Amino acid sequence: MPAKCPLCFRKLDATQKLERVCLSHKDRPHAFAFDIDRAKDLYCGVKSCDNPRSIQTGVFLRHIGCGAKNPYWRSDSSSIAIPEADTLERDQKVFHVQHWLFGVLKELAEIEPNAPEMWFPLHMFRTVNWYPLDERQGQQIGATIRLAGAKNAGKTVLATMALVPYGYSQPQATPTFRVENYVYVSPEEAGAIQPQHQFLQALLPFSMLRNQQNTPEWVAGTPPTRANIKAAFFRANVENRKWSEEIVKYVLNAKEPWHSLLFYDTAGEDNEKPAEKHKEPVDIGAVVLDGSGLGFFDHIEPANAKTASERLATIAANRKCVIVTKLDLINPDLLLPEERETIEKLRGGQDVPAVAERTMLRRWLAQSNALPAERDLAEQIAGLDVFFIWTEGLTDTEPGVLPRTFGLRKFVSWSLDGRLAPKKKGK
Amino acid sequence: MPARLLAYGGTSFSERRRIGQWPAIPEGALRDSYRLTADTWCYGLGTLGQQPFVILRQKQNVENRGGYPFSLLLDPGDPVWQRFEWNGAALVSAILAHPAKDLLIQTPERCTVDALERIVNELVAAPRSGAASDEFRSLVLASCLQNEPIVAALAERPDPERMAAMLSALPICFRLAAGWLVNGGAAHGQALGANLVLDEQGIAPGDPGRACWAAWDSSITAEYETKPIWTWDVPVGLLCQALVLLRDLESATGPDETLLERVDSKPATTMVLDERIETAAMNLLTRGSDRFGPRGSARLLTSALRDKRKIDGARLDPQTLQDKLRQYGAPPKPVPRNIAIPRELRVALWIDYLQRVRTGARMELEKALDQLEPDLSDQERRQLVEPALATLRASDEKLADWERLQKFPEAWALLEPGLQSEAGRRAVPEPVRKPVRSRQPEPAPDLDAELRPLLEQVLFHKHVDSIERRVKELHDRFNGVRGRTELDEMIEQNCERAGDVFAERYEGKYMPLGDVMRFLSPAAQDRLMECLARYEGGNFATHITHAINVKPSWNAYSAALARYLLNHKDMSKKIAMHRSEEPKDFERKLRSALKR
Repeated sequence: MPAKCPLCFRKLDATQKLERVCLSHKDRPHAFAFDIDRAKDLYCGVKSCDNPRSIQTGVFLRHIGCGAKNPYWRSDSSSIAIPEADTLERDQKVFHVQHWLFGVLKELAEIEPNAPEMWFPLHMFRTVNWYPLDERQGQQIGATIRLAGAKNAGKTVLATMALVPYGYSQPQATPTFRVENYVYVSPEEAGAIQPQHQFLQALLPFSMLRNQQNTPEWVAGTPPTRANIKAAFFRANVENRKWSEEIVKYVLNAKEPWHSLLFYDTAGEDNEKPAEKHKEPVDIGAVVLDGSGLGFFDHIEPANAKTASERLATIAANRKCVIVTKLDLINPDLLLPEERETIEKLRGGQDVPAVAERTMLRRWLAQSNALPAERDLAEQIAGLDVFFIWTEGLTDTEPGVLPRTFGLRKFVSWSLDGRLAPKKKGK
Repeated sequence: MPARLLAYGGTSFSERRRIGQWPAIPEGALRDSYRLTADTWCYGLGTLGQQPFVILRQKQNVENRGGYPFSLLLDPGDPVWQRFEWNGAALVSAILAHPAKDLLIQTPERCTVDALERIVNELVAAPRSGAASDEFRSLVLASCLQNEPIVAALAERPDPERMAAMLSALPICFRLAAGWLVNGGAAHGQALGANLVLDEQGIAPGDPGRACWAAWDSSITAEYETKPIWTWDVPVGLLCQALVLLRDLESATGPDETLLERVDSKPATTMVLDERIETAAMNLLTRGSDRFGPRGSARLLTSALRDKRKIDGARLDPQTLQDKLRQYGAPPKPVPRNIAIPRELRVALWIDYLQRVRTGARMELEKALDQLEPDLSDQERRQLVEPALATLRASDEKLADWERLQKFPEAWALLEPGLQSEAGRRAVPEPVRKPVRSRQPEPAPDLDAELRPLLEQVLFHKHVDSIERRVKELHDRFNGVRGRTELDEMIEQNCERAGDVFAERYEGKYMPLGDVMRFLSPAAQDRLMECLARYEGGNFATHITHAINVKPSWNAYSAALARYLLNHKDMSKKIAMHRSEEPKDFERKLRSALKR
């Protein structure tokens, strides 16, 4: 299996070049022709940089000639100008967007002012290419996930919340383990006043949540773009599901390796077309279904189940699953008592039987008031893992009150499960 | 052309309806939410593909995650445009007032071709009148002159009705202009073909089009005002530049070299305007009393020489005068009478001319004295005579011919000593009393005795190896020998005896033929051509095409061939047909080539 660029998915061979910059050792940028047998070119050379304390201070790569351009690159300018922060205008309001990526991109632009391509962390490259790189003796260090589903199914909210601690919270909304994020949305190629608009829109929630302030404007539709990637980097043993043990492990062993989940977000408009647009295979194909838009709940969204069914059939992935969202918007009176109980357990972060969610969903999809596409979907999901994930408080604007996501931990653990127990390198 | 429609967004980031042909429009522009709100319209007129369309943009479904940008592009077709007198804002206003507007704006996917035609035909074109500020006019005109969109902030953002009133005050061509947009940015303008964008974020307008607008003259531009600018046969920028130039010429107080430079470098525009500019430029030269610069002088002189216009040479730039007269051929031609130049200048022109004359100085001096005497000073006379005398030594003019200059006694007094000296040098006792014996040419070295046998061998002997090498050796050894008539007899005799050998040996050898023929006279060359014709059958004639097409290859053989064809019409006709040319055109080419 050839290696590929995590942003543009182009296959990498000796004709392709990468450039490496370690942000802890900036005086040694290094461009090289890609050679899978010379993986050491990807690394800084200083041992401690193999597993940096923070993704932000580690090695960054760019794929020379990549189609995924830096959001601040302009074709009519010879060098890139990265601001320290930026503003996003939305609905006649102006939002100030701050994110660590501005600082890092600015540093990288000082080293390579004429590089039009977007930079990405080394860990992303290793996650996408764990197999050809033979990472950890064949063990994955992360997973790539494509989110597919109809418009407004909740893909972007899910991907965003997976990148922040509040996505893994208990009802107390207390962040408990470390997660870092990386976001990239490719710039508009022509016609937009602010080509980096979608990039800023994707960064906006991180900027607001960092300031402990939620504003609903961060939730917006995702237009079709060349690339839309949200990467979560975890540092903890995610097999361990007890919070206290995770904290202890983290404190005692700060040298736990990073794990990552790369969410490749897609536009609902692309998913609602019959043909599969995204043909590059990923580790996990997650089809997102708006739970509140099912016929069972007397809310008909024809595209919802139809799109989920089509994408489930065509998505190119090693493993597939279905994520049901917006469970906070369903009418609980229509649920069976055991279903209500299951949802409450999920909300509380407790374990539920392995097939509980799938069983519930199949029941909803098979009801007499279900649409034909929903009945088809009920058949398709037999044997598939189903996850209920929802976010509450998206419209709360009270200071200090932040959105919280439920059910995400289980999905993340499942995504990183299997061959993932981090082993120390046998030396 | 039927109505067209393109609707994008509003409920999703995708196209919702397309009727008719549309050029490629970046989706980034159609789905950009800059400046869009749910309760006001961004509107305008686009000119992509040189077919205008109105633009309507708004945010829709804001309750759904902040909403989606909606863009509607609509071209109602030429009859409707004409009914609205090309007023895009009036059209926008009419669309927003139409009872079925929701079909276009809310549910465009349900709009059929027939429904669209019905709606556009029902649009009401209300009569309008209004005024447009100078600032607005200037912006509109400036936007027609630039390649990149102008983004300007007006004091007040106009709604469609107000904009319609402003546009109605403009000529039709500027109601469309190069497209315009209210609320947006340069990227939108670029994507939608709207070169003027009125936006709060725009820069305060300067006066980029003010000069042109001030110079606008409907008496000249009437035929253009009723048509879109992209249909004009003159680019609007050129037309504006010319109008400004005309105004500057008409308002100038005197000759101005900068203005005249603009006139000289101006590309052609319309006949009327170009004539007005020429007339204004000439009129400019009648104003004031200062000396003219080079351009003014050149212009006046051209007019004087062509149209016999009277001019005072004293105001002309001396160098320009000299150059122009020299081009005209004066001297030795007399300066036309309508050009009054000072006597000193006329003398200076002749002195300069005589200094450059190398042959026939006597005749030129006589002309000079004819034109300038008896007003010459001694010094001037000397300055004329001396250069003429200086050419004597290198000249083979007869000294007796100089006697004609005795009619100018003062000049003769200066000439006589020099002529006597030259006579002495030529060893003629009484140069001015007795006829001068012409010099006998010195006997040429007997090249022919050496060249004849070698040439004969190369041309007519069977067993000569490597013709090219032998010809080259001859060429190197007898370099410079040309046109030897002494070789004619040898050629004639050998053509009779061994013409077949020559034809066989030299068949197809274009370059060696040229090299050997160089030694021969034209008569001998022609005789060899006859040999080729007789024994080779005329195939050689096709060489003429190479000779004509490849100028550097032209040589003595090509010239002989050209003469042969001119004298043999049948063959010439065949070659002309082969070249797909008329015979007379082909002959003309041959004659022209022979002059090389």
